Amino acid sequence: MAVNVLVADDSAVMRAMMIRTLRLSGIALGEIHEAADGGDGLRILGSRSVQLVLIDVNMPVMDGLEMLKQARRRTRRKMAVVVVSSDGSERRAAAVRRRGAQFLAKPFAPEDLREAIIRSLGAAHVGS
Amino acid sequence: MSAHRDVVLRTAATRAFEELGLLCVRQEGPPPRVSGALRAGAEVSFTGSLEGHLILRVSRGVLDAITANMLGREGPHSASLRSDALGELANVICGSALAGCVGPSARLSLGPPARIGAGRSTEERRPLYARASLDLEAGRADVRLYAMSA
Repeated sequence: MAVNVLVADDSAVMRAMMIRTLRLSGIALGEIHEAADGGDGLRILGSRSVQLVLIDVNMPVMDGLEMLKQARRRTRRKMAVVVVSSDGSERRAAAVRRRGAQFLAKPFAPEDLREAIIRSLGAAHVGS
Repeated sequence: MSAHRDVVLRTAATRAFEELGLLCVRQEGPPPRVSGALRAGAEVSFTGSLEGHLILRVSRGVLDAITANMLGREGPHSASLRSDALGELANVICGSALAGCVGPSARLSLGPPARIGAGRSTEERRPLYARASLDLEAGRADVRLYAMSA
């Protein structure tokens, strides 16, 4: 089954990088949505069926952790989430994992992002 | 400044340019290669157990190369996308360098990256904490971390 994805990052360049990595990952992709802040991200999650969310922590309007918290509260759908951050502190990583998401510190190689996505989604979604 | 902090900053910057910007960094050693004036700049402010800002400046060749590499397509790219790419690199270098300098359990908060225009000087607000110059395959980069304990 194809996976619908939301990529939430205020950097257009980082969104492009993450989408390119997704396309090269072997994951069967459906719709790919983009959000430039947490508020936009929540609106998309409220109106679309999304199975995988990639979230940057540092975003304007609503940061990634708040977006994740509200998304978990508002939707009962099962969603795989990978949170990326320039701040790789233990405190930040623990906060993300408490919310049931994978954590990835920047900079990351494309294969690191792919592995985090696969851990989050499960290997069943990934082709060879 | 201390030699240890300079090494931490250089390591963070090298990793960011290589993994995010997909550019090779030449190792230190004489003779230094100079290619291109440092023109474009980005600044990231931070607060927490350390307070200050990081300034990243690069030559035009580096700016064009990281933008193309991060987007995965050749330019020309808009000034907005070039600034976005440089700001993201500055943000990542800042986060990695601070974690290396003050430890992974420190409480720090990074602000959004801001573009530094020509003629704007922000460098005297805090003491120089660490500095690194990188010789890259597409030009050069200079990173300065200004900080003091909160």
